[in-house]
Amino acid sequence: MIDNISTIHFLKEMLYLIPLLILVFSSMIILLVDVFAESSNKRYLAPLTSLFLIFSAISIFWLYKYIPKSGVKILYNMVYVDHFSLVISAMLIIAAIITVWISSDYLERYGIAIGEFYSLLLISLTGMILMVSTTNLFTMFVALELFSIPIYVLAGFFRVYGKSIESSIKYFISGSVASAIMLYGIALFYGVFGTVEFSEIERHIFNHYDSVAQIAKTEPLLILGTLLIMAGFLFKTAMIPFHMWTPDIYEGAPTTVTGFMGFAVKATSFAAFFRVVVSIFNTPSLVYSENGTISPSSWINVIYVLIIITLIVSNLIAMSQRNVKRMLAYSSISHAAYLMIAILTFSLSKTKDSYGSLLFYLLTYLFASIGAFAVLSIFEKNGSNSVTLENLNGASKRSPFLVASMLIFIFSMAGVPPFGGFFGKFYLLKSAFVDGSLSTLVLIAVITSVIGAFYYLRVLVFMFMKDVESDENIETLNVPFLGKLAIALSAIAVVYLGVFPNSLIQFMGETISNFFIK
Amino acid sequence: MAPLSLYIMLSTILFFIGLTGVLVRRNIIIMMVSIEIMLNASNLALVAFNRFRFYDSNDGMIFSFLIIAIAAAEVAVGLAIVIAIYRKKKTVMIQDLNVMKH
Amino acid sequence: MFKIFLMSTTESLSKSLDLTTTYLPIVMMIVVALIVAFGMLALSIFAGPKYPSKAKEYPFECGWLLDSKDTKRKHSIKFYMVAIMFLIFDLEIVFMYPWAITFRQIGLVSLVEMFIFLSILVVGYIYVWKKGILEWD
Repeated sequence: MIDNISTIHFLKEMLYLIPLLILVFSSMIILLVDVFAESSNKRYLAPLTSLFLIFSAISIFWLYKYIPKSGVKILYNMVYVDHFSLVISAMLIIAAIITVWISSDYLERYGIAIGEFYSLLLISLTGMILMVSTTNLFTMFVALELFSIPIYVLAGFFRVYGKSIESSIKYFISGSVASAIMLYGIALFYGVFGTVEFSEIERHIFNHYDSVAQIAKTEPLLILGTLLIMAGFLFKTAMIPFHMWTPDIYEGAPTTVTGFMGFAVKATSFAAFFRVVVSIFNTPSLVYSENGTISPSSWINVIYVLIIITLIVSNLIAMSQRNVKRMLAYSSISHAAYLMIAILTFSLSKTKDSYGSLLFYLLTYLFASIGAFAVLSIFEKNGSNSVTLENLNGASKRSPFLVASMLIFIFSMAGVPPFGGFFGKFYLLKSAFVDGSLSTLVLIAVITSVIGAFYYLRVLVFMFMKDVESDENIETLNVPFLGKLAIALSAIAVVYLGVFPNSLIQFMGETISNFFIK
Repeated sequence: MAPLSLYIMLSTILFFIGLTGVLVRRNIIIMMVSIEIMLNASNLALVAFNRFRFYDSNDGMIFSFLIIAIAAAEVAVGLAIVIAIYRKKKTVMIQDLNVMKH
Repeated sequence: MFKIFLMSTTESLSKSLDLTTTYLPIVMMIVVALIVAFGMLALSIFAGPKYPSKAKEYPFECGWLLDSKDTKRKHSIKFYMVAIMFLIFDLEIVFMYPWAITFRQIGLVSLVEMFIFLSILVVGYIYVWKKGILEWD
């Protein structure tokens, strides 16, 4: 059954994996360098890591030009590299670079061993990139674990602080349960189809079943499998009611890790879920009943209800938070709901307008979220590993640069017009509104985002208007060079996305439309 | 030989035993054991499906090997985290980890 | 009737012969293993020096002495460390057995892949070693 593949063919396949291979080997190299280097030389690890990351990013740009638009399947169809996966990978690598730049100073302030941090970050990034570039459920599960396990460790990286280690074990338990649930769904899919390749599953469903009701009658395991896989994804993307782990973990984890986790885990899970939706869940017989309307027991309705609950509950809870990291955790839950709207729009409407909105929203969320956590990581008091609103008092006097960039990030997340986040929300909701069936959802999203603006702006109120209490002396924060660079670049990116969104939206739309080239 | 449905029933029962264990038990080690039971339930289902329905390939069995290795890696990391918790807090009960409750 | 019986017996005989040839290497391996194991023991009993002492006659326990009925007492954290290390470095055998069996069919590329896999593990091993986790004291 297995052919004797030639070495040349093998090497050619390795060519498509170069971004991944660079990451794997650099993580090994950094681990070894960390063990053998003298402690005075360890501050060079962060530049070394970012150098490797930049190499990987360059190879991704090169691959983007090199591969055909329909993508390439390699390693016995286990890995699928296409433009979509490369775009997401580029975003993830940018997130990792920003995280590394901020972390180098942050870790030094806390006096925590640093080599393992970068190594784990790179391994996790490898898993994420693998997860978005596969159309095979088995590979997807392996990649899911590969990126989750290092993140569990990173969350508990400040093991001397109770909070950090607590968040780590909570993340570990909930994340493992989520992946076990998803794995059972995958096992059921395998049991029904005998294959875990997306395209073959799609063909099988398309050929053998007509409607949801018929599937439920003849092959109930398929419905159960769909729900279990979806539950796993909802867990990873932190939709309510699968969000329980989010606030604690966002609060307890080291702040730069929270920034990375908040974007990267979410982006990876959404990208993978998007692939699953496009390839498998979107098959008409899994969505529609016999008379062509959306079946009441379809997964679409589950998502629809969860989006509404998530939008309302997350924004309401976020208002009562005093801890900024916790507040941003709930804000990230509400962002997950927006991204889910994009996926729902995509599967319901067939207009090309909706194509770019998911990726563009992710891009704006990348810079705003990681930037905001980067600013917080500099503001946080040594040893507390968290920032309350009161900690931000008089921040505008301590560091005008940080406050100005925080203003940009917060405005972007709240959706205030000139910044990237506004256009992300705007395009997303516009394409959802054009398709008539989602107009209720759009209305709720608009109302809740107005509520959301309140708690976002409260952060700014504390930063600008409240002064520090008299016994605390105002000291100017000196921002380290790499951190300053990262924050400045993120702020510029957010502004740029807000001013010139069109070309990028178009680019993202083309990336998605490549899915339909057969 | 026992029919496929029995294997799948056993695997479903194991899965829910594991899920209940995670939700009900308070000892982190026991919770990790329950997670292992859930993973092994999937293993059983994969191998049974492979043996009964798709016997001309070995995909399910190969994947169950991968799951065994992944589960070991997961448990190793989990145990390491538990050790770190025990060093810090002198307990492995999940209800004692409540620094972040408000 | 008799002919049929004869045929069936020869058939089953040849089948059992077949079985013998298939399993002969395994039987031989078991025999050799037994000879080596018991041979070593016998050698040490007959040829080795004997200095009986009280400590040697004490019931053998791995690592600590089980002289009280208290099962709830705490053990050194090093046991857990070693257990975790064992878990990680033992499980790679899961991949090596299937690889060894199918090695002829998948050819040279698989050798390279296995070396890459093992080199990753070796990096982990070096890390563990340099961090001093393998040292007991």
